[in-house]
Amino acid sequence: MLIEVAVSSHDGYALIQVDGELDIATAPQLSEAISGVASGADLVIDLTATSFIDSSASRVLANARRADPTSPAHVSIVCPPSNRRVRRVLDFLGLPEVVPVYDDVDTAVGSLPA
Amino acid sequence: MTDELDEALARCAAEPIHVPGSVQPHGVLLAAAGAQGRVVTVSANCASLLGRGPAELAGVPLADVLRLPASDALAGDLYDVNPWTAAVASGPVDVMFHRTGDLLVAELEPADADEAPWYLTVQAAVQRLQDVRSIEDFAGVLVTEMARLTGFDRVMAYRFDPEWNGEVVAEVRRPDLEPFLGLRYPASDIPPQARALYLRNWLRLIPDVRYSPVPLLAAGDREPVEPVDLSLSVLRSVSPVHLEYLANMGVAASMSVSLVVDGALWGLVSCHHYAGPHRPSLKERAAAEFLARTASVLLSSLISRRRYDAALTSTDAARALSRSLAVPGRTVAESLMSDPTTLLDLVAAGGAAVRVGTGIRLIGETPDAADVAGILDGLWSGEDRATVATDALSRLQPSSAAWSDVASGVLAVAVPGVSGGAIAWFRPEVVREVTWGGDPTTPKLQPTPEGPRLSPRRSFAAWSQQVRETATPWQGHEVAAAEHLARMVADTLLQRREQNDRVATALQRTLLGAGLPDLPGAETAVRYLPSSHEVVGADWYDLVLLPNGHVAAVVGDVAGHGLGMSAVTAELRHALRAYLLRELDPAVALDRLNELASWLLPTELASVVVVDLDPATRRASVASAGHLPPLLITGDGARLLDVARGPALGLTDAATHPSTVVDIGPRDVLVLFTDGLVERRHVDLDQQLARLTDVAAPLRGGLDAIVEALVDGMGARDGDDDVTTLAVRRRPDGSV
Repeated sequence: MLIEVAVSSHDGYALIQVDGELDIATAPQLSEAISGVASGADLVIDLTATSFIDSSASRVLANARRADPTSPAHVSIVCPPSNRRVRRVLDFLGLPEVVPVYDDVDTAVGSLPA
Repeated sequence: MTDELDEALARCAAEPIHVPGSVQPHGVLLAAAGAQGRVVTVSANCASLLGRGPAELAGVPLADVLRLPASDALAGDLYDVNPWTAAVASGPVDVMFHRTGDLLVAELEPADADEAPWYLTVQAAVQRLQDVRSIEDFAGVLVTEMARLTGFDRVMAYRFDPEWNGEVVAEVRRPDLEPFLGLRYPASDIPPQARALYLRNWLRLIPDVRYSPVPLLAAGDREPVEPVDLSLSVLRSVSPVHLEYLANMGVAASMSVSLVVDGALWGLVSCHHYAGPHRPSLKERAAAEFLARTASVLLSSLISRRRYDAALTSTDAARALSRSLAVPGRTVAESLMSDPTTLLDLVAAGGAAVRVGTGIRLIGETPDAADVAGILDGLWSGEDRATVATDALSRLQPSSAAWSDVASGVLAVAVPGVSGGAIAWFRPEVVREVTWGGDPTTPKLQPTPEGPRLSPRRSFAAWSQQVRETATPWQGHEVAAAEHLARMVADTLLQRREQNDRVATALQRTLLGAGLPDLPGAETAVRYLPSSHEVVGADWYDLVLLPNGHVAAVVGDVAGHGLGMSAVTAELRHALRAYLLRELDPAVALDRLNELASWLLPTELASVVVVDLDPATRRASVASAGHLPPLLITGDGARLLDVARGPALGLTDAATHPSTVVDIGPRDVLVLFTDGLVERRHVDLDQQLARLTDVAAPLRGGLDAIVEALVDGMGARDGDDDVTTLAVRRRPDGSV
């Protein structure tokens, strides 16, 4: 299963973009990318190009925002409503109630705490 | 134009080339009949060698004309006589005898008296052929030896493809001649009846393409000449179309010798001479024919040895894959795609796909999973899922041209007994430059009184064609290996299913308690299928009789798989039980469970749904922590309950879960399930939920049967995830 996790650093935040299927086999790659983000930096995880997500990967998303000294300061997720396959799974799990989910990266970045 | 072309092609294929009624002038033909073998037919040039005309030869015994030692020498096996050298009026002649119908045919050619015996010249050639290991090298040695033996300006090995187009695979030539190596010639260049003749008569010679045919005459000049079948003749006059073809190519003399493998024409050794007429002697031709016959046998064994080697390699791979399938705790796809031996070792390809159960797994270079599914479903639109092996997928499925870079060739086999189950290999596009000896797409037609006739090309200028969207063809043994693997996978799945059922039973007894408790007030049934991915899964279910007489039905799912997960599952299950008994409110119980999960299991994520059922009334209250909604089957059909949800367990440290009150009739069936029942990698979740209600709508009767029907209807066996399906029906009277 091919998956591409791209990490880029920006002014004050890091952007992780996931292209492919996030499942029990590929979730560790996302996990690694998250733990590689500098402590204290805000994090935007972009799932626009993610075609599938299972509960193992959802757990990784949820854990990204936990109060852990090495975790990023503020986490948000980008998943447009058009990516229904992923958005519906996040909705069922109730993830939007605990991690803000935005329709696009610009909105997510604009909503980061100053 | 097309009709005319078809007519001309048919006319060409119908030309009776074996009874031309004439011979070539470089020899003399005599045909004899009757017990005494008396001459009845002669070629008109008989006097040139024999000094006697047709009338003088009529009725003379052939044995006398050719000075055979005994009059009965020609009565036995002619192999013992051929070739016979006789001294006749013109000097020594070589004679070849054969029988056709009731006739005994003798063909005479002037002999060269002091030639070395042919077997000496051929011996070294045969040894060299025995030493090569590849078909390409073999063809190279063969043309070199053939040129040495016969002295032609150009000698080519010509191989037929399955459509009877020919390709020059080896060549030796006079340095000033342009190379033909690699050129292809369309099948119509050598029509079917000519190919049939080449199987019977291995060597054909035209010493001078500009010859004038010599008619066959009745020796007695009274009765009309009987048509003589010249299939086995060496002097047979050839089709004028063929002579025109050779003349157009600038060829002055030509010879071809058959190469026959497994009873079929594999190719030809084709010899051209340009300087002028060229006639290898009968003994040289006998040597050439012997060499071709020996080469055919060696070629056969070379080809079968290559097939055997390939089959051996794939047998090793098949054995390794079979061992890999037997390793517990792997999905079928993982077994077939794990190093060191994968599907791609069994059948060489750029990539492969496995579809059993819920998803498509890919290895190597392939279209993406959804496109692979589209290709497979397109190939198998009907019931019959026969093996497909194509080296040009876009010809079967024009829409697939988009993936020709990785999937020009597809070998797809169905996995028996698995709905939609398939294994497929993909080969990339191999763009080939095919160079034809002249443009094959424009045969020339010539009007004749009998109708259009095919006229051979005049231009043999190389004509290149780029062949696209094709891959290296699949070999027979590769297709067989693929089908064998599919059967092996089917067997493995069957064994695993049996094994899983046993494990599932054991799990229900230990992890989940000894089956479902028999509760007053509710009738229940459950099906728990651990994933084929890991034997011990992370779903759980529970039924709890509460102090207020209510029944709590629980289905939960912990993210992840494995033995470690089963401990987490057990903790959550027991804790929820305790909270339900103490709080009596499912929503509050979930709030408490979430606190515990966040505290004890900070890195886990779980979803769970609880239905609190009051057997005495129609009232039930549902609380969900990030779980899929329960399904309700009523007399009117089936629907998903629209219930409020709180976040999944472990998402946040403190969460408040809402509860929703629903109305459940006495005959209604409430179904709780985990995502394994519906979640499919490439199908929209909402689409799957809609399918679940469709499958459920007509279900009635016993709960066990309903649960089985749901699992089967959703195709949820052999999946990557646990599948738990729990059905509950109120039993208002409290009877057991």
